[in-house]
Amino acid sequence: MTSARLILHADMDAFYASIEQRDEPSLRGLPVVIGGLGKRGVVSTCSYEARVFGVHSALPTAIARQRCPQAVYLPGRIAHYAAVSAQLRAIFEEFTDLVEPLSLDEAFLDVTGSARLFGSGEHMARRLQDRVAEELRLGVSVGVASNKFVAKVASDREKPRGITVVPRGGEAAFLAPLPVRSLWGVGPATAERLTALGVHTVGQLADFEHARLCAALGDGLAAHVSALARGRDDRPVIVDREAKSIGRETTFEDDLVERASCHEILLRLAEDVGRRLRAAGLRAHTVRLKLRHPPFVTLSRQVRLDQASDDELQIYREAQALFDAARPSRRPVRLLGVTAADLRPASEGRQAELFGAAADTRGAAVREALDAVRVRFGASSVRRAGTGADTDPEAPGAS
Amino acid sequence: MKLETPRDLFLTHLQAAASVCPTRSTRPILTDVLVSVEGQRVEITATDGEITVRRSYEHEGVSGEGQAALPAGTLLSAVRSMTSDTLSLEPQGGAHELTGGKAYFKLQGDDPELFPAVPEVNAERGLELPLGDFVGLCQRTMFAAAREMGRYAFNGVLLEVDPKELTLVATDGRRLSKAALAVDTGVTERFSVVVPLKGLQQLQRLGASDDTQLRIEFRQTLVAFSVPGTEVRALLVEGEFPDFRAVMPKEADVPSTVTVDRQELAGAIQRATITAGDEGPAVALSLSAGSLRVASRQEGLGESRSDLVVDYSGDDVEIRFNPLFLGEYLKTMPETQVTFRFKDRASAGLFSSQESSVYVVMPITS
Repeated sequence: MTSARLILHADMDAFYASIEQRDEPSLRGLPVVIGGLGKRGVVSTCSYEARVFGVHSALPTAIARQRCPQAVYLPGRIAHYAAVSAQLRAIFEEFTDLVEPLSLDEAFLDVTGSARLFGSGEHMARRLQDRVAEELRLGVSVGVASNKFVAKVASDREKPRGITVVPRGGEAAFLAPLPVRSLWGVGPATAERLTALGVHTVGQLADFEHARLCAALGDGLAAHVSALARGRDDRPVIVDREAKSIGRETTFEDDLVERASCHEILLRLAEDVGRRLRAAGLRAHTVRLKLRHPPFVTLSRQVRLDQASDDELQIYREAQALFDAARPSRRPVRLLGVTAADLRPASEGRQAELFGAAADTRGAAVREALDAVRVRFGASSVRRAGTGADTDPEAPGAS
Repeated sequence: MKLETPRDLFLTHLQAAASVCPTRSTRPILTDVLVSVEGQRVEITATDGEITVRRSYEHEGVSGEGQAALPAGTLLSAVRSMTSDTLSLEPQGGAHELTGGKAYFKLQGDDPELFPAVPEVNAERGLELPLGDFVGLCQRTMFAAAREMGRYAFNGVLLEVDPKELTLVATDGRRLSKAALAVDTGVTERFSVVVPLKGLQQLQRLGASDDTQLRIEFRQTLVAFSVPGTEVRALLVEGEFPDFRAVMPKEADVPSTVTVDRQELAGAIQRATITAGDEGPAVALSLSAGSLRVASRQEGLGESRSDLVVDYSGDDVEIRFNPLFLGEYLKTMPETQVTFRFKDRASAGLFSSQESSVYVVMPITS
């Protein structure tokens, strides 16, 4: 359906730690760990010297300290990393206008149209590494493939400073030995269902009978994962990811157990998100909930709204419904996040409803829930906008 | 089961019945059709668990007996591919052989005993009216129903039976279409049920041309539609249908009126749809003395407008609607003129093309 594409996925090697080592020569050759240093802190990145000791990103910092007490622990300088990331983006844009940053340290580049100028994908990847090294004195690994998914898997194959090229037509064979969990959209639950079918690797999934897959996963997910398993991914490289979502999350020093307490936090997060949406003149079509159980089980759930909204009460009730559906009864909660995504300008207008709140069977439930929160925490609790007093530095802004 | 039948006749009825079968189901038997033969009479039954359709025909070219549950999709494709005037089905081992002309198929079926029983009607109340009239009511309303689940009871059509009138109402919460028909229903007290869209679609397939009598019967959880040769039974949609009377604009709610040629307006809306974009599309109807401008604009896409000459003398006003809501309505109504009544940019608009049916549409407000 789409003509042949050439996609690079550039993934910086230990980005934050490498910047620290570059800027501070005394750190070179030492294990360096960047992350939250508080009680609930997690490692955001670490140098290759630290990885030898079993430290990796997303590991609780407390465990990292046990495994590698001699490492240098730094809180990180996000503003500085963002500045370096901007320089990096400028380098990417030397190769193509079609750059889709995923985060500060990785991006997709659609270089389909650049091949005539720069030569093969491998050649471009090599040049990109050279440019990043000479300009920024940092390392980058690059995956080269015909689509985003395969390119991303490829960039992770030979780290650091690796280049992995997956030739067109070789996608499925490249992916075949990987565990099914490496497919986007296959989380622990889906993986478990696949395991029950005897499907462990991507290759097995690609060969699996489609009808049975549909029966096990549902048509939508089955189609999605089997396309990925065959190395097919038609998603375009999207250039402007600026303010694609507005989110807020908070980690608790002590886990929350009470449902009402969780609801109260969700309300505060939703109020904050709603306020920021309105300030930006945006409305969201999607509400996303992030929920973490200790020690480190993170769930993400989302719902698409009929109509884009900047109404914090609506955002709250959607987040609350997602929370109630996702959380097993009374399981402790360590982190909650609410994100508004799929944003549109508010000037697009709002479709008026015929029946108003009365026809919305969920309306009553929301009012009840709000009242319950008010009773428990006092009337002011549901009017006050979130102060963010207990948020931690990993709370993202517009991302 | 043994069956000899004219191929075209079998195909027509099979096609109609099979349209209700799910293509995949957790109950594989539902992807089958049940074919029953007795002498010169053939019955084909299909169900998705909620809607059951039974088509039957009698013909002197038919002979055979017995029952078979055969995969609907495969059987349909096979029969469609055949070119002979007649076909025959015969048991062979656990399977059935389908032959005719040069074609030979062997089809694996299921045990017909496993096929779900057609629900009993045991009607508590019922009425009769010409099929064409009923299909007309369906046509005028069904397009406004919600396509997706989630908004409870919005994905069905309200069927309200009054002693002297039958009314259908469909809404997705943003627009509502209502059509009524004067008919002596024979019931003594008004009642209403919500019928799943898919059930009514089965009736639409029958066409509205002839004056065949349609019998509608109601039981607590079930509605049954019967015309000679076809029975449709549908489980009613549970949940409350919103109070449509409460949102019907009164005279005073829609003081301004303009009447437009339906096709002319449909054309203007169609053009506006092109530049309205896909996400949250809006078309602006701007009225001023003697003129109706239909325009749309989408950032990054472009804009369009059509100017219609109309008989309007009120104040200047601009009201924005979802163009799809207007387009579907204008496409569906058979009358040549459409009357649009309204108050202001934030209130419901009322469209009608005949006395007994109205369409209420909520605007897009800023």
